Amino acid sequence: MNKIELLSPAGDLERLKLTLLYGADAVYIGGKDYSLRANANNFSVEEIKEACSFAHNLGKKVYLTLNIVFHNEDIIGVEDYIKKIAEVGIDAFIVSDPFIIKYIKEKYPQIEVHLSTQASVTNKEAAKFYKKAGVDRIVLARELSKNEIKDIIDETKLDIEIFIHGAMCTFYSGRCVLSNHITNRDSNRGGCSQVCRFAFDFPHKQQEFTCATKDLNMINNIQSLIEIKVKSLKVEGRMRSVYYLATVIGTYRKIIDAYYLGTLTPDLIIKANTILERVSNRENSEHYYNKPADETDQYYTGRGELSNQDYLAFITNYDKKTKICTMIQRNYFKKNDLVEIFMPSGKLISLKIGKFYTEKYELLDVARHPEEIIKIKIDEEVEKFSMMRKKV
Amino acid sequence: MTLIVVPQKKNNIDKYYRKKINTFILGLKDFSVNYKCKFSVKDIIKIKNKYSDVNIFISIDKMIDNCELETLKEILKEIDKIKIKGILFYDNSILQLKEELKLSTELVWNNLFCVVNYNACNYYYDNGCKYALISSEITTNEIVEIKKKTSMKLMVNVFGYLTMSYSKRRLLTNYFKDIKRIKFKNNYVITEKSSNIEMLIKEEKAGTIVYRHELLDASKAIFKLLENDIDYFILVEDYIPYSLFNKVLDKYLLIKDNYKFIEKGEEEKELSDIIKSGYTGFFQKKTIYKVKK
Repeated sequence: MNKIELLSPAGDLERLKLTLLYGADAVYIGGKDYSLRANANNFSVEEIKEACSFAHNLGKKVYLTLNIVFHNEDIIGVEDYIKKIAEVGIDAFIVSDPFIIKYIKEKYPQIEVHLSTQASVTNKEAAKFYKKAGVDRIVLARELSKNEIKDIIDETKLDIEIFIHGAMCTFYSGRCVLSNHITNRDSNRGGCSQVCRFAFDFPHKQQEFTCATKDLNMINNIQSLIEIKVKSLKVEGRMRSVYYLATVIGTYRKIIDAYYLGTLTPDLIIKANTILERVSNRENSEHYYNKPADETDQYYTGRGELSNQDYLAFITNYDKKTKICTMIQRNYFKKNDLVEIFMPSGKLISLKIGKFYTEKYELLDVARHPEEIIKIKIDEEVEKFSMMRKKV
Repeated sequence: MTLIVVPQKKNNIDKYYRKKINTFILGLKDFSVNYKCKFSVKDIIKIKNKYSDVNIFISIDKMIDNCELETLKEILKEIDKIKIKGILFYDNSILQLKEELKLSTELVWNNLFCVVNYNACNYYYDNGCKYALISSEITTNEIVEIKKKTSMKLMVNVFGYLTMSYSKRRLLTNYFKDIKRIKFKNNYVITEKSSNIEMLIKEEKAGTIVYRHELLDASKAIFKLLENDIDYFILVEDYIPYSLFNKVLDKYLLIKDNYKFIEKGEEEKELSDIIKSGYTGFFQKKTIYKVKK
């Protein structure tokens, strides 16, 4: 059976490896140039080579974003760059500028071209245009409903990718230059300064005007997205933390697998929602999928973006003989706290913190130093790269 | 170079025609968003019948939804019969439909903020678009380089309020629901606090559009654009008092006909003094996108 693809972002090699281990089928990354996250760490050509090698060994894929809107000066060098990336084994380029589609399909027909959401395809005729232009997959505009997505799939038979989780633009992607005007940072070349999250003075001393959106969360709609034959489910967030990505990818992995195993239940989705809400620093909603977006999908004055303290530790080793689990502390925890350890395989252990020690086996009651090495005896085997969080 | 006017009222076409403006871009009812005044196909036929020598471009710049495609096809077929000068389009569905419906009307690639390089222009030229409306967020030098490296006829915005963004969301409705006010207008001027930049925000059925609320002053760019054979200058009248727009238009008419003989500095200053905004757009200002090395 061809399962739907779960596609994760990764801002660096550590994130890439972890998200693949936590269940992503493919990862999208940005190179040092031509990517719409110009201010993320991004990958060198050597790192892209390592990323491809790591993913391919797991039977997984890596896609590279090449989705800026090119200015004249950006054209110089792009062909050499594409050649280098093609040689290290990339599986697909994610692009928005049409001349790049043509160039890649002519020179490297073995590599897929995915049309970025930056091109904001909202209808089946536009999708047909890009199919004819040679794209293998379209990441549709985020403004579409379930029926609109289904119509496009049914009519074009194209591979369709949909954003399912993460930050949303207020405006159509590619159709906003607020950042250029307000901060001189080019939104369509990766410099977006997120002016849509600013507050504005409104006439007559009314309450400040804001138009920031809540984050997207489509966990309730995974079954529906599979059934309308979406090809790939994309999570936003190349600049997000390791903990966030492992949690989000691991959670969606569980729901997708449960669907195919026939074990998906409302309770499982409720639990998944709770986990996703806890890991996010913003509220979330479904935006356009089941109804036109409205006032409930936005934030207004007075909102807060909460810093999350749930992530307690990153597990680096487990000694099967001694049952000692070694971890690096991330946030405060103490004896008797209820916690859970979630693992790349999806396994979860709930426990109450008992005795725990420093690296030199000095007994501790409280872990209060981020980056400190902590050792705890845990009876059940813990996988490497697992993470410990407060009990959800 | 040809001057194009985007009128904000239907009967303003008369006024500008009398000033020997014979090329207009018109918003199309139900399919345009960045235009204050929108014309039905019937309106366009009337204009064509009234003025035999008027060149009309219509603009379809809305993001098209699946449910609108059948109506759009019918309208495109009707428009094709009128023999207008061209259709400005944002959504590539129009390019696809031109082929499917075998339309003969010329197309103008108007992907707003994305018409910024010569390779993309050449791509669209090869796909049947003979014209492009250049993004207002690039420099004069970039525009000139595009002109040199494409065969497209280029249009450049030189006066009006620049569009900054378009959302499918009803941002004013949502805001007023939040503050529990039932009655409100469809447009307001809001201010970004740190830069003090004013923005005109307008809501309609198709969503919300945001404009920069400072009049574009292209005086420092126009001579270079003229010397490099840019084909069309666009002046957008929306939200501008008629008297001011008229003065600016007069100045452009003078410059267009005499630019090889007049004293540039003086004309630039006079135009700038009429506009009075001091806002010169991106003609001399490059955007950045990497803020750290």
